[in-house]
Amino acid sequence: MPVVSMRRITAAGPMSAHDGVLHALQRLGAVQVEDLASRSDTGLVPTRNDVALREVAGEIARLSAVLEMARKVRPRKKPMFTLKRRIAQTEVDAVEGRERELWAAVDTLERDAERIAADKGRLARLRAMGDLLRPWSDVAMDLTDEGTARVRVWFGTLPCGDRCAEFEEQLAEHHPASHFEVFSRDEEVERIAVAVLRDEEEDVRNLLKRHGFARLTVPVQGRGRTPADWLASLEEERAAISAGIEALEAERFEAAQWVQEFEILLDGATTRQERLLAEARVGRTGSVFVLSGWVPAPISATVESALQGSFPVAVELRKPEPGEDFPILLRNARLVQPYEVITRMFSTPNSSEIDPNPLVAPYFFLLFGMMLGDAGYGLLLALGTAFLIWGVKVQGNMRQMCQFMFQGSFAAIVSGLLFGSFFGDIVSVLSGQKAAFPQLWFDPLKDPVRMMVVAMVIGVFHVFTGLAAKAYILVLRGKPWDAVLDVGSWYVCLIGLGLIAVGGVIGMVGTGMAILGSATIILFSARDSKRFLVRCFKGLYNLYGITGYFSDILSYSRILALGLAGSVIAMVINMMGSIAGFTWIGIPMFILVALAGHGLNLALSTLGAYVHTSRLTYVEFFGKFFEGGGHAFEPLRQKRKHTDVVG
Amino acid sequence: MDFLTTLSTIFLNGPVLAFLGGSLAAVGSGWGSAKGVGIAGEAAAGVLSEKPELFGKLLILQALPGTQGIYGLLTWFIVMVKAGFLDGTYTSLTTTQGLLFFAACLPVMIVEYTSAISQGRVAANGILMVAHKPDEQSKGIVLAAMVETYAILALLASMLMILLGIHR
Repeated sequence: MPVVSMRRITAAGPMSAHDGVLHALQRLGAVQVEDLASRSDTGLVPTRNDVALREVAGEIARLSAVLEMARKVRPRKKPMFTLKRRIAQTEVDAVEGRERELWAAVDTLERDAERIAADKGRLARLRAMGDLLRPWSDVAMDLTDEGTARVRVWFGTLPCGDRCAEFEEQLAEHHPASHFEVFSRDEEVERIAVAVLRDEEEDVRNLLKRHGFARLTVPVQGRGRTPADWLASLEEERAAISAGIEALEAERFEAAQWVQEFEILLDGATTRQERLLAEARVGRTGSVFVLSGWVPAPISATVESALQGSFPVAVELRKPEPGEDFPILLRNARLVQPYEVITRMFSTPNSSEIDPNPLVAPYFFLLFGMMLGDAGYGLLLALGTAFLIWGVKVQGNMRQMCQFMFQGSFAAIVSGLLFGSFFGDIVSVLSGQKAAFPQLWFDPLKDPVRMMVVAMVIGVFHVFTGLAAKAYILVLRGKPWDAVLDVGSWYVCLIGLGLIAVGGVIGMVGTGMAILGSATIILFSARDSKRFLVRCFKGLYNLYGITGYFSDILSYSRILALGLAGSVIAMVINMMGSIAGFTWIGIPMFILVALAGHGLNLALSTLGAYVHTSRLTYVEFFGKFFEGGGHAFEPLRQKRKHTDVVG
Repeated sequence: MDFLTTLSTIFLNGPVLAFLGGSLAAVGSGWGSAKGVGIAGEAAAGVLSEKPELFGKLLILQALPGTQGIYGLLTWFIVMVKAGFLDGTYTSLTTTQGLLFFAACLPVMIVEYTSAISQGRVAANGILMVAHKPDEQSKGIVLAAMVETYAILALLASMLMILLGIHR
């Protein structure tokens, strides 16, 4: 049950062996390198590799960006969960041999992306210009032309409707020697040209202004040609740019074919970064390096011989000194491993306590199952999680969560059999109350008090297990008396109180135990205090902590509440579904309501069971003994996100 | 006086009181959950505009204050069954029994309402925490679940009162 013990490893050797040793350690993936370089008491200096680190960070950033780009250029159907590709070392070597060519492809992708963006900007500007110009394409003269020495010409817009007509009338009336023409109109404006004699220019200008005339502003490129010519040249330009974009896109598509190779390069870069970060923690003098770290005891000898066999280095292994913190590696049975994710979310155990997972596992299994509490839902959850684990092959935390839910779903099936719940009461509803799902124990809905007692008995065991774990930790730390006085006293007191409820002779024994236990708590729980009276008062206050135990136990009543909630909601769904009876409308309706309702209820019940089992574990159980605050063992290893090198 | 007597015979009788209790249990809890899920949802929508990849994680946090509504529905259902509204035996309810049903629904009516809103606030802050540290989602969930404890206790109180406290 204790965490895997660690050995402090120290290796020293000539600088010539430095790179080889780090490579070897990264391949072994078994040593966490501690920072020796920045400690002032060693006289060692750090390896200066900031430049290399910056370079590799730059490479990682570029490769990540380009990978994303390449995946967009060559989209492939994305699986729901991405898995690491398994590749051989020869493939890695082949890719690294082509590094120059691949980086050229990276350059191409980056450059083309920029160019395409710029060209698309130009296209948009051309399109806007074309939209502006097109309504004027019938004009057979330069739009910037303001007329001749005798004649003034305006191009522009007038608001549609009455005002335009009114302007036309007035113009014809007061300036008979003028010309007015409408080229096009839309919902808002009419595009017009007006030509008048220079003598009348001022009058007409005012007339125009009064009628809401807006002069056409023409960009400088439009000077000296007709709109039609200009449009034609715009079109030519557009075609040229589009062809350019197409060429660039083809080039980019070509370069994007190396997605898998980029992934291998990226994994190589992250692995190199990992090694450089470890390198910065290695201390050195002019010609010698010293490396210090932690290695799991069971494989420490292998690491030692691997290093000494291949490099001219001195290796020393030693046990951690008492009180020295070492990184935490957990090793649990396969059935227990999934629950590590739950403990990890709370905290990693520290190096002076036990790994709580073997204790977490059975209770989590039981509590989760009872809270879900339905055989049908258990069955569905088992199928769903099995698909995720073995079909989709999810990894990491997600896998562990699926695994403990898979386990818990069997507890739910058993719980459903014991308390007679299979999709609520779907069997009785479908058979018209003629048959019922077997109920091996009792119906919590008819006898909720009995269910509550069951829940609390489980709670008592859970809390007592937590207390026992605390006693065990105290004994491990060499404080057996603390275990007797701080934990044993509560055991005696609480069990005694429980026995009183039984009554009779046993009840009298219980009374005696309760008195003995509480007396121990009052007299000894505050034994740090020197003065007897202070000690007793503090002890009395500690005895008040008994209310905490009662609320802890009561907290387990949520098993009853959540278990009932799930199955009663299932009953409501069945009832709603069967409202229309077993008719041609009723049967499809039942199927529809059942699918949607039970699906939703399953999701919510599973979430509720997970959340509240976690709470009972974190608050009621871990509160008794677990300190946490440890650091997980993070050895120097190949840090690969996309690929795994095998063989 | 006559008017008041008529009113009281219409409203102060067993079936109406029990019906009202069940109804208000569903109202209080559903109302609270709607608010709670709304509070959390607003926070989640804000975060999603920046980090759309967190959708799955935030959805779970947003769903947490929704359980109170379910507990209300549960209470309503048990009232419907126990008071005989589903099989038509409700006519025999005495005024006292009706009042007992109503009183038994009080914990759910009130506590589910307030706890759902509080839980919504905790969940909203959990959502903001997840925005910065996506790996800490389970801590946000557990913090929100601490509030839910009291919703569960209220549900238990109501349920046990209805199932055990009222003899018919």
